[in-house]
Amino acid sequence: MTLNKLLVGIVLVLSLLAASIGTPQQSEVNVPEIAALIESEQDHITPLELAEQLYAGKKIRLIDLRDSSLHALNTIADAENMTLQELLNGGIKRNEVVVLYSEGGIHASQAWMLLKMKYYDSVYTLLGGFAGWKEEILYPTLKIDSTYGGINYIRRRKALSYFFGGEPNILSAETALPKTARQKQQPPNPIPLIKFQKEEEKLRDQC
Amino acid sequence: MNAPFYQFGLFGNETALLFAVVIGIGFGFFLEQAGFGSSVKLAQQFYFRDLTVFKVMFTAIITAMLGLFWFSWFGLIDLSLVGVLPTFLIPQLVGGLVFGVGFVMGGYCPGTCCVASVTGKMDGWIHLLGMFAGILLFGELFPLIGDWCSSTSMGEITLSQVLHLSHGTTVLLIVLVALAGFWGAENLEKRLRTE
Repeated sequence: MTLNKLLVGIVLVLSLLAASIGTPQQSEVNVPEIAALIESEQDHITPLELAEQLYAGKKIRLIDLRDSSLHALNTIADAENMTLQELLNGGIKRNEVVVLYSEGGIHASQAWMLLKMKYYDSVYTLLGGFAGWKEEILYPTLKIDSTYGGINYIRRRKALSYFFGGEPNILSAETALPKTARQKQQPPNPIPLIKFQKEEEKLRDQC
Repeated sequence: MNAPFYQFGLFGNETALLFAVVIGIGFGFFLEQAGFGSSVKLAQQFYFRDLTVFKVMFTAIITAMLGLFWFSWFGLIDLSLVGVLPTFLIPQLVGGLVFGVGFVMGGYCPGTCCVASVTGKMDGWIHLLGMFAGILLFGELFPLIGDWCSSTSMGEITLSQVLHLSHGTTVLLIVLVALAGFWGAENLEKRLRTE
């Protein structure tokens, strides 16, 4: 038997077997793996984590799944507005880090689940959605902590807030950090201040 | 399931380009070794005297097709993630005719003219220049013909979808066509050589 005849025989056998199989079974969705990702909270990213990573220049593709009218009104910088259909029909690549968000988070979670079923690995939802982003990053309410770490933390949060076009609301009786115009309009809440003063005293005692 | 590697994010754009260079060099090397750097040899297929190109192309199609089918069956590759170019029926038919006329007249296809040019063949270089001039012309004319180029769209359609057959039956059908083609090509070559 010549090599050519041998190869023809192999090809024929393989193609006949292929015809008997029909269509190769499409891979099944790995449900336990998806459940494990949700349980270990690897399905989402918090607004603060996202802001830190974007601030550090990490390449993240942001997909805004809200209505185009809401997207036009306000969004996270560089986010792309997409419908669910556009997202699932090749809107994103498999090898890029993608964060999905909707107004509250439900719509984004549904999109995340559908993308996981199509084997997209580096896809996350924004915890709390755009509402969470506004609350945590754009207009956070920060309580002054005059310890070294506390001041740095608030400076950092302020920087993030301004970086993304927001303005923090800082509750303080101290002068460690300048007050914002927003704060001037609102009377300070005495309860957090009392708590803060007590904590500060504790910290001083410890030192 | 871990393939296609690029689609599963196992490497990024830079590594993908590196692979493209390595595969491209390998592709060019084997084309040249098979004698595809000669326009005389390539043009012989249009006179049915040397059907090596036909046999090589069909062998490549069968190898890739069987490989994809069986890798998919063993769960090593997800066929739904393998890129399929969309079909635009009329523009692609016209493009195919232009390609064929260029191949007959010049004796090279785009790949083989690159192989010929790097081995120092002047006709290869002329063909390559013509190809780039055509690309430039197409780019310049695109605002005028862009709408026509995207007409008669059929989407990312495959042969098994058109024929309403399973993947496996389509594989068998193409293999039978290829084997019949090989047999016919061998006989034709023998007959024309003896004449």
